[in-house]
Amino acid sequence: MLGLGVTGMLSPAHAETDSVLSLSVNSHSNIPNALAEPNVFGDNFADVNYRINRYFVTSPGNRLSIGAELGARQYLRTQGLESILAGLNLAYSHRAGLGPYAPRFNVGLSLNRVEFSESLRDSWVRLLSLSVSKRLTPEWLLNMGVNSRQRHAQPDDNLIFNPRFGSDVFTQHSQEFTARLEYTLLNASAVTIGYRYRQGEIDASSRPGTPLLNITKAIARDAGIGKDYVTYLLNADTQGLSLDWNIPLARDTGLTLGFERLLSRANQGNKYFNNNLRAEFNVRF
Amino acid sequence: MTVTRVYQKTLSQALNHLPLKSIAALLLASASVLGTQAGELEVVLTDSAGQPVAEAVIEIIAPQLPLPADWSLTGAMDQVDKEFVGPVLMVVKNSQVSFPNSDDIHHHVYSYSDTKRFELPLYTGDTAEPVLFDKAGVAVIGCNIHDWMLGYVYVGDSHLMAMSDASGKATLASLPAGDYRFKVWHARARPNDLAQEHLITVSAEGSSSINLQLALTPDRRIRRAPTASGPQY
Repeated sequence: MLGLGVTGMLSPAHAETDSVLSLSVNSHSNIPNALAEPNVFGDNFADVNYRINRYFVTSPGNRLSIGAELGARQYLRTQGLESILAGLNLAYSHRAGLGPYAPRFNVGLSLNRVEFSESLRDSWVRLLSLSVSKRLTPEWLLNMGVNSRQRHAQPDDNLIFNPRFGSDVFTQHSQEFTARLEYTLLNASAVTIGYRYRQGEIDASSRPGTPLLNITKAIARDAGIGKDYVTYLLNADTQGLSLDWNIPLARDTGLTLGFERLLSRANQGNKYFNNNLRAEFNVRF
Repeated sequence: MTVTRVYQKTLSQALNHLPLKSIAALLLASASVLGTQAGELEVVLTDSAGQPVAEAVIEIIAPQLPLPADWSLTGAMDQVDKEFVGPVLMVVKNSQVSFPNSDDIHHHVYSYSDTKRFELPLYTGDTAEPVLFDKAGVAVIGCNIHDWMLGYVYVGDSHLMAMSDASGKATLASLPAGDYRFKVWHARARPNDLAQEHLITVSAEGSSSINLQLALTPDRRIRRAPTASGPQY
């Protein structure tokens, strides 16, 4: 099997290139991920991403993919969170059987470098994911997965806010469970409801004065949100409910309209809400 | 029709002088079912909204006419730009169907329909062996790499088949005049429409037309268009 895979990859016909350009406009209700008013504010931003993947069909039902991604984000009002992204990914997919109803198992690893206009947030983001997808009927498709995300940033001692804590607020680790159930309407248009449960570290921002220090693991002054804000690291359980509407516009062009509500619960009963709207245009080349 | 009647009368007069009169009468009855002249059958298919239904197949189920000796028992369903070209192919039972791959990538063609189960794993060009379709019915064809690829091989008992065009018209030319029973198939037709048989008399000259309405099921196909990438960081 391995031999077939290696020799197969040498044949161009076994490989297939898939590249997708994504343009999206987004509106998030709580950009700082702040606990409460008056620190909460919303903003709109635009994302542009280009992903290119090379798929190698190593044997019937098995596929290896190697890909790269470039992206950029620009906010409408918020200064300091603009970012660019570059990354690589590797994934392997196995279909247990023949046809669209056979379950497909996926394992993937991605490594992205994200750089912000405020360097404190500059990070390496590593994501290891396992997922299975199964078409239940012609209309229903179920996808479930787990992932482990590690974000590593470089602390800046010049931004220490409180000597009891370090400034390494963007080095984070979390695990997540995701489930998505898609229902196909007409002509491949589909509605997807999604759920996620994430356990691990998150960052939140606030103006000084909020009694944060009891739940904080690290805290730093963060001009990315605003000159008078601090960002702190904390453990939280996050749940998200999402609703997406995927509309094919042409054979290789699609539009997704999406909404997600996120709720993070931390110690002391603290809750962080975020309502995110997205309109994303995707075109495959 | 006039020529047919003259032919029948002449034949009847001749057979009156023969001892096998009863057999001759039977033959005469057959001649009245199928005339000697050829007409045309036109079936116009619309959906419940009145829109033309393309890619539907009509097949004569009675009477069964013999397969012409020079009828080709082959068919081909090409694959171009990750789609089955057609995507409906009509063949007569016992035809060999090839699935050439005109893309520069591999496809993995399969069907697990009762009509024909087969698998042509990972090939390009014309390297896959043709598949024998030896049972009448419909085989749904897919690609195990590109799930959105969908094709149908309609395997008829009869060679008297026609497929509707974009205007919903399916035409069978050169049919001997007579009474015919036919059925209609479409990938999204409901079971009661598929089970229904239709009767029509084809006249010796000109076109005999019938309008039929199909109540199609919703078009739910696997999406090809890319979807949202999701949050990356």
